[in-house]
Amino acid sequence: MEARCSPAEQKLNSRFDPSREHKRETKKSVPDRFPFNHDSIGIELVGEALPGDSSVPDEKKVYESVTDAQNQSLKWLVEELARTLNISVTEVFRHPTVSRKNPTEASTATWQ
Amino acid sequence: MAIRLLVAIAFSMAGSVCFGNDDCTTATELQPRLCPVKLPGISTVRIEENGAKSPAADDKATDCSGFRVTAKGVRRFLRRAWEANESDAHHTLDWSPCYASGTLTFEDGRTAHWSISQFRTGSLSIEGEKRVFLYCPRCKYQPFLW
Repeated sequence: MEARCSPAEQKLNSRFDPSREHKRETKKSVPDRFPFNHDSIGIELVGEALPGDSSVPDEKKVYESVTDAQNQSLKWLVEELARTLNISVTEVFRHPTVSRKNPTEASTATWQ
Repeated sequence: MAIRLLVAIAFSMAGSVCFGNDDCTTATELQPRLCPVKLPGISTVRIEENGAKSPAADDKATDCSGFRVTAKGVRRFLRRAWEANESDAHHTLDWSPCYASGTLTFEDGRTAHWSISQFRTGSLSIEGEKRVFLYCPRCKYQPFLW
């Protein structure tokens, strides 16, 4: 996490208000903010949050590990996209890094 | 314009989908398409976990003890919440480590497992039916405000 928000911003962000937080971030330009859904490319690795029982609250679930084969494919894809679009691999983020998501999501994904 | 890559794991569980309803909202960057959900009357609500913290939470300082719901609050949430496609919700809505969960009985005799998170999301698993993912943007009151 870059944690470059000002103390005043961090205080505001500690209150849950996604709309206002988004408005504040919208005023910033890349790379002064993390990507939004509309200006990023999402790479999905299929994995299950366990236990899979639908009666278990999402908050109790932990994602299964990314497989070696998935990580190999991910590495290839990230390198191809980075080369084609001329962007740095340092601009690749796990979903929970850029937004409030289950921290175990993509936690075992590697692409470098 | 710089383009950033975002790595995400697909949430592979089946979600409840609501299509073809004119009362549904339009999806935005911050919110999935939401559709009204019609639930039977609720006769009893049982709270099994309250002020609970997710085992996935990576910040030891996270304190969920302040997120406590009441049976009345659960009914109110379920009355005011909308249904969303679970996959869409996963991409647009925030995940909270703080939650409450339990069971309830409808007036028609069916039972369901419910869960509600501090970030105004929830789920309802009615016996024999698909899970319904819920979001309540209008629930801007305690314990969803702090």
